[in-house]
Order: sequence, then C-alpha cells, then structure tokens
Amino acid sequence: MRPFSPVHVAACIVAGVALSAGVAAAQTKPARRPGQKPAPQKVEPLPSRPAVIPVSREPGRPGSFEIAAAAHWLGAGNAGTGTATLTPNQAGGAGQGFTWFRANGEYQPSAGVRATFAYNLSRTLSAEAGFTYSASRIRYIVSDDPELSSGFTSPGQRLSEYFVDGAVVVRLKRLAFAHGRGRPFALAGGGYLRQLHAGRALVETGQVYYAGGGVKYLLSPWGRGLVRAFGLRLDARACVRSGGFGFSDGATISPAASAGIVAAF
Amino acid sequence: MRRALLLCAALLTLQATAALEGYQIYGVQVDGRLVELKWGSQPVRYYVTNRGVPGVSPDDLRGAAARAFASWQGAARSAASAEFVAFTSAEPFDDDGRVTLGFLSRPDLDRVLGATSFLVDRVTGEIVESDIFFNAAFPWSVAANGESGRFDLESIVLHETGHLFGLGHSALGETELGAGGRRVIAAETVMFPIAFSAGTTTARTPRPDDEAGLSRLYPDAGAEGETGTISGRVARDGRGVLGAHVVAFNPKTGVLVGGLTSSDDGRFVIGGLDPGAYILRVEPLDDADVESFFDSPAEVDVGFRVAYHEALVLVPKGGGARAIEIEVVAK
Repeated sequence: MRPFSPVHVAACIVAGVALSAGVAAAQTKPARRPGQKPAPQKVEPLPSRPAVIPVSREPGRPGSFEIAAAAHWLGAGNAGTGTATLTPNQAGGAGQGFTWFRANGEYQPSAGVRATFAYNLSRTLSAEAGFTYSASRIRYIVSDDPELSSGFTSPGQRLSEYFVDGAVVVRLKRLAFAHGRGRPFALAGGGYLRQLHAGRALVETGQVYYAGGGVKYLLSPWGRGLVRAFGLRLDARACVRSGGFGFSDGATISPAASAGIVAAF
Repeated sequence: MRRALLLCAALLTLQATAALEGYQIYGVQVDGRLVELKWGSQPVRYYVTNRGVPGVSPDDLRGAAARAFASWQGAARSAASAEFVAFTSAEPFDDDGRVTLGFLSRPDLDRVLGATSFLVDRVTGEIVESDIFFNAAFPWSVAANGESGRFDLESIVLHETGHLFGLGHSALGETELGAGGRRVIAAETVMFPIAFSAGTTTARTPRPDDEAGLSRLYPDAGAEGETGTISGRVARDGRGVLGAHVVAFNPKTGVLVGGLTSSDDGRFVIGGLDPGAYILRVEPLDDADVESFFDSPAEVDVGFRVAYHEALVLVPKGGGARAIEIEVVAK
C-alpha cells in the first residue's frame, strides 16, 4: 500500500499520457518483418509516486476540515439510585432516615447516529463539534421494600437522547500505519445532553463528557474537487452523562462507539 | 406509652365529610356535590385560650401556635396564612364564630392528643369556624429540643393547624403492631394520624407531602404553572379499588407525595408535584386505622399486595401526566 493523495492521482494521469504517447510513437516506426524479433526498446520508468505529499494538499493539513457521519452505539449504564426515606420516630433529632425502598435506574444499550465536523488546527490537533441522536431506554429496579420482598423491575421505556458536544482530537502520528492511510487519534470532549421521553411529556437536560480514541482509514485517493480524501472512521469512548433522567446527581458512565465514513476537505 | 395516640380532625360539627379524590383533603356535600373544605379568605384569624397546663403557659401555647402557622405559611407554593388576634377566655369548640386554640382536660379521650372541629357553611362549603383542643390529660413540652416523656406541643399544633386549613390525614408512614398497640416507625408527613413518641421533635416542619396538599387548597400565584399532577386508577381484577394509598416518589429529589383512591372507581389525583420523573407505589391502607381516612371503612380494600407502576411517570410543568392504570393483586 502506498500513500495516496490528490497529487498521486495527478501523477498517474501524467504517466498514462506518457504511455499513450509512447504507443503512438511506436506506431510511427517501420513495420516489423515476420520472424524478426522486435528490437529492444528502451522503456523509461514511469514516474513514481512522490515520497512526500505536498503539504498544501494533504488531508489533515492545518486549516482544512473533515466531516464524518456514523452509526452510534451507547452501552448500558447505571443511572443512579434514589432512596425513599421516611423520618424516623425517635427522640434526639432526625438521626438516620428510615429506608422505605430503593430504586435503581439503568440506561439500557441504545443505537443512534452521530455526525461530526472537525477543523484541523495543526497537523496533530483538531477541534471537533459533534451531534448525536440516540434512541435509548431507561428502566428502574426496586429493592429493599419490606412489603415487596421480591422487588420489582420495570420493563423500561423509550427515551430520545441528544448530545451536542465539542472535543479536542489529537492525531497520534507515531502510530500511523498503512503508509499514513491509517491515522489513529485520541479525543476528549464534553457538551450538552438533552433527553426527551417518548411521550414527549418531559424534557431533561444535563451534561455529557467523554474520552477515548479511534482511527481514520483513508480509502479513496480522491484529489480533485472539494473532497481531498474519503475513508472510514471508528472510535470508542468512555461516555459520562450527568443530569438528565438520572436518579441522582452522580454521573453515569457508559461505553460508546461509532463507526462511519469521513470526508476530508 | 405504646398505644397509638391519635391526632384527630373528626369533630365536624355540621356534617360528615368524605375524602376528596387525591391527596388527604376533606370534602363536604354542598347541594349534592362534593366540594373541598377550605377557608374562603386569608389570613385565618385565631385566638389562644388564656389557660396553660403544667410546663406550658398561655404564652408558650401562643408561641407554639405562631411557629406552627409560620411553618405552614412558609410552605412552598401556598398562600395559606394566619394571624394571632388575642388571648381569650372562651373554650375551644364554643360556637362563637372565632377560631380558638386551647387546652381542655379530656381524660376520657385517653388516645387523643388533640382534635380540630369545623363549622361549615352549607351553601358555599367554606369553613366558618374551626377550633383546636389539646388534651391536658397528657404531659406537654415546648422545650426547643423536646423533653423525655412529654409530647412536643409545636409538632401537635402543626398537625392540628394542618387540619384547620382543611388538610385531612396522610397515610405516608409505617407502623408496627406491638403488645401495647400500634406504634409509628417513621413517617414523611406531619399529617400522619398517629403521633410520634413523646420527646420527639422531628415533626415540626411540613414535608413535601404536606406542602403539596396545602398548595392544592391555597395555591399561590405560581403554583399552577410550576407544578403538575398525576392521575389514574387503581384496579383489582379490573374493578376500581377504594382506599388504595398511591405514593409518587421522585428518585432524583427524594420527594414523596401521597394520595388516596377515594371512590369505588379507584381513581386518584396527586397534585402539587414538581416536574420530573416519578415512581408510583401502591399499597393498602394498613398502617393506621382506616377510620382515620374514611367514614366507611368497611368498603376500603386492604387485601392487596404492594405494587409499582411499570414505568416512570413523567410530570410536565403546569400539566398532568397521562392517565395511569395500576393493577394490583390479592395478598
């Protein structure tokens, strides 16, 4: 595999023209007699692809940008515990509350879509803005209810989640592979969380934070026009949600991953 | 003392009441319809009797009453208020058109710490007069941190003045039966029908359950737009359940607000709820005498198991959650 670039494409076109010119030139030579071996011809080597892609056209160069769209998966997460507490009948102050029952919230795994826009600040650093929609589910599990020792688990209900976030993406150049086509990166970011119940009766807001890494693999040596490169993008993150429908002020940590396509401009 | 000490609101002088649907609010029959029992205007002007009991002077009683009324006045999203007028030599329960709080010695009522009476206008349903008596047969205290063996007067005044404003009993508590009778383990309302033990002062502040009820009766300007309701039906084998205690629990804030199904169709309404997601728990009315809540206890169904609604109930701001249906099963 060789690194490609729009320059590479241009070089191929030039080579093709040269080859065609050579064929045309051969046709102008005298016809060969039968049995006569063809005279050895000196074949000029085709111009090789440049070892160094000019900076001005390389995907990821400072000032360029990328757009990605991906399928998104958000793993299960603990949405916190709420404790129904009664004031105990005891003299000398409130003391410790009487636990009537506990309810533990749980986000169930969900799927959605994610879109990002990245602006390359330098050859190693990008600023990325993202939008994620996820069709999630939340359920609750009741325990410690002395009058219902078997407990209770709700079947769960639908929840639409929207993240609008910003991240810093660091390109891990030392880990690049496939002659630069494979471009690992690390990222960390945070943003706004909006959760909407399926019945649209209630909207909750909160924050989302994440950190993780991934890889872009540039596939297509498109060099002409606006799109400089085209490829795949995979990333995996630890996603922290706070607020929203969570049962406590604590954070919900879930694994998240997305896989999709990326276009570099 | 292990016997259940009742905090009563049963001495209704004109007519029997029935719990209105939802929270622990009384209703009165006016021209064949049930209307909420409440005052027509605020503040409620009250008198305090000029007789004390051992350990509690008339001034102490006035102070306890002032603090209790101030607690209700400070309740969230409520416009209820009261104003002390003067000491009086009149007795509680005199039909004199005055709201009177005072001690009466009633050793015959050996389970009753206090009670509230109402005089109600039959035409409008408004409260005309309400008196409160505290049973001088019991030992009382107004000490800041309570006194062992003595009942905290402020706590009991708070409960009875809740009745005075029109609140009925709340079932938001747990009890245990012992050899000496029923004892409260814990409660999350000051309107539970059985008092905390002597020496305890933890019932001096209205809880969200109490505030929700008061806000429903006397909403302030922002109450309607800021809070929401949950309504629905509790059924057993498809038939409505009377007397089911339905509690809305907000797992994020810890707030508990209760309501009762108050008719044969099993319908309930819980109002005064902050917007958010709630867990609904339904239980039979078995932690106090059913008579504390309903005039016809025989019709109340206490033979079903605790149940939870299958999903979080979402209360929007200024609106109501969609109607909830909860099916319970026999014990």
